[in-house]
Amino acid sequence: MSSDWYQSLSIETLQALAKQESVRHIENYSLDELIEILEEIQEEKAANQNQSNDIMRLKSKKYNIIHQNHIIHSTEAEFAIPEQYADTTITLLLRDPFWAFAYWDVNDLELKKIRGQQKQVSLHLRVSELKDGKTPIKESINQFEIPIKDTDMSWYINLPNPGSWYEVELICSCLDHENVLILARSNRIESPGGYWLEHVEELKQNKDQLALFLAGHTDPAGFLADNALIEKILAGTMHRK
Amino acid sequence: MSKGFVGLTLHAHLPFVRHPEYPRFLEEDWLFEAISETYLPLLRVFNKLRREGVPYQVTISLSPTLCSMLADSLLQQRYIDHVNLMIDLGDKELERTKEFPKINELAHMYRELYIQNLSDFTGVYRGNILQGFRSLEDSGHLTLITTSATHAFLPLYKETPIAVKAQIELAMMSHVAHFRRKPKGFWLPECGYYPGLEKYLAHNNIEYFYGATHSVSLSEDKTRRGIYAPVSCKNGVNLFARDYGIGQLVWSEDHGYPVDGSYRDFYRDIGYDLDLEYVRPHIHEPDVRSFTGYKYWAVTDTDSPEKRVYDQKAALERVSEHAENFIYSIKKKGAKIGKIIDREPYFTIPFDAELFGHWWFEGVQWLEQVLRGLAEDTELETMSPEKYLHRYPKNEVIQPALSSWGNRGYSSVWVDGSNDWIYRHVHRSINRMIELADRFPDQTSLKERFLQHAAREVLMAMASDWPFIISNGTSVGYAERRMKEHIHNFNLVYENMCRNSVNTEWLTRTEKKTNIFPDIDYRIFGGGIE
Repeated sequence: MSSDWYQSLSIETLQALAKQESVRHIENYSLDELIEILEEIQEEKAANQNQSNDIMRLKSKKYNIIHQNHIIHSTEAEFAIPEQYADTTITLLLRDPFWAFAYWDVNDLELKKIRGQQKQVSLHLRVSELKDGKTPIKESINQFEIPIKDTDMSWYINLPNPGSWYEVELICSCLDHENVLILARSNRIESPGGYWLEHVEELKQNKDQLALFLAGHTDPAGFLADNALIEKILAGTMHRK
Repeated sequence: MSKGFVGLTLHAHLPFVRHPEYPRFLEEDWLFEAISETYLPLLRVFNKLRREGVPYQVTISLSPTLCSMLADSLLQQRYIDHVNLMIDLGDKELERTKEFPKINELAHMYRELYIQNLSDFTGVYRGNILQGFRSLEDSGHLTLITTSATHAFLPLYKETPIAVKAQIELAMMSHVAHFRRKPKGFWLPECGYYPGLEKYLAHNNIEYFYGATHSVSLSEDKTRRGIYAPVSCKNGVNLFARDYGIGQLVWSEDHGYPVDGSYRDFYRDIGYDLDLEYVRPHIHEPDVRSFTGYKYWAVTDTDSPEKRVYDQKAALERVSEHAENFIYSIKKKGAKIGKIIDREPYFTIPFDAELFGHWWFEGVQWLEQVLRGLAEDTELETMSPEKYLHRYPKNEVIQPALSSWGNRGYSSVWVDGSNDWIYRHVHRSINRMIELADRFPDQTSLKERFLQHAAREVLMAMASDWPFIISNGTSVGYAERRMKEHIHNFNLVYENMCRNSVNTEWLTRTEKKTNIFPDIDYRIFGGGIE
């Protein structure tokens, strides 16, 4: 359907659609090339949808007034928003037990000033794993650094352990690491864990508790809810000592 | 077996979409399709059961954004225009399909549905279908609850608690304005919960909320009853965690009831199948093909090379079978759970309301059959969370776990590579709104209106719908545009307030367009959090 539909459109309409999909230099592409690009974008979107769970897939039907993203608003004025903000801050959002999303803004003047004072400085994210929400960062269980570029504004951080707390610092250091300047410190987030994650053996031994746990997370066809921690717990109950 | 209770809950929500600046607007069809295919058919079934004296209790969550649209006179008139357009299409279809009896019969059926909808909408409800839900609550058949003001996914706003508080307070105000009573229950959008959220629910006298299955099973505390009874947070607010397994009988896109080959196919629609010339007066400009509701094909078995013409009689037979199977599955599970826990199990089974009738055309009939079956059953009965809490006021106290019913159980739908850019701006806007509320606590007249509108724009930017749509790739251009519009509008107010100026013409125009929450008080963003 998609291909036939694209074939029926003028090059101007295809260019407008491509522009809407953030395709750059649209004027350089032929009609066939534009169709190919748009089809690839749609395929990628379909693949993303396939990764969704059943609720999310069905929920998306509610917004499905047309088959694909063919809405063109090119004649309307764009609403300008800033690319970044002038003060230096970093925010951490928990995405799931194993991933967090950090975004930050750096004041350009501040960075220029540092660069003027220090030669060869570089930016890093320093991730601290902590046992709770109050422990000072210097008492972290674990720390690691992620090098970032000046142009980076966000990063997905792999969290090593569910059940721990995490905080991120945006740091600027000279190449020999003698001088380290903390530009901003994030909020602290807790990666979820759960009682049964720490007591898998108890769950394994208690048939009623295991039955209750399974009843909530499996459908009548025997399929398990899509959750990494649930999978981990149940995998643990199947291991022999 | 001992008795079990079934807590059926439908969550009805659509984002606020209203474009008076255009004569017709494509995304307003979200509302019109939902009214035609879900809300009015549901009201007809609920009223029919009430008339016949069939006992049932269903909980309905109606989002403040949806209520605002359903109560809006411009959108009410546009819905009437939309239905008339579809009735005209039906007239043409009766003529076009007269040589094809099976399809002609279906065209007739759809046209009659539109005529019935128009009659109910204008005659029974006088344009405002909210009164239909209110009446069913008055008679004790429905329990109406609310959700966060603009359907914000709250775990991503944990660091800005004032915004969470504002979302909940405003939702309560909106619900009272529409239904004249305070709700006792709260639907957390996408079942998104984080530890501590219950504090803001308790401030608003909320007695219970809904959560994902693992909000209980992945708690730091053990429970004796799992998800088959509510649990209490330490502050006394109760949590009903959904039964994933039972829900999947309907939700599953691989083996759920709606994918049965006999049911009507959602995608095949004459808005796409017929010549452009023919459908042009009934779709959107400029030649944007869209759904019309005239759909003649069945889902059809996957091994069949061609789609079958939809056979409504065969589909309704499957509806009865699937309703029976649903009740049987709960009973089977209840028999097992009843031996493990020390009281009658409660099955929390929530669905998106728009799943019924819109995506699953026969879903409303299925729900009717389920309610009839449960009314006659000796082992199961429908019961609202409120009634169950009245019966069992004391429940296990635990600290629920961070959770949602999204992919993998957390926030990954609302924070991914496609939509993560929004949080930099929304969080910033919230913090700036707090700053404005604290700096200008006593504004009156024009500046007060300016600040009220700023609060409106921030709340609109928090809606979970925009990142969801961007992530799912359905109407990305529109969702991105809406995000930018709300952030842009907020920044405009912020910058003007910092310069001590008000753009009156802009304010009047923007207030007219985004006319949601007319009684909002910007000071809900002020004063800090205790």
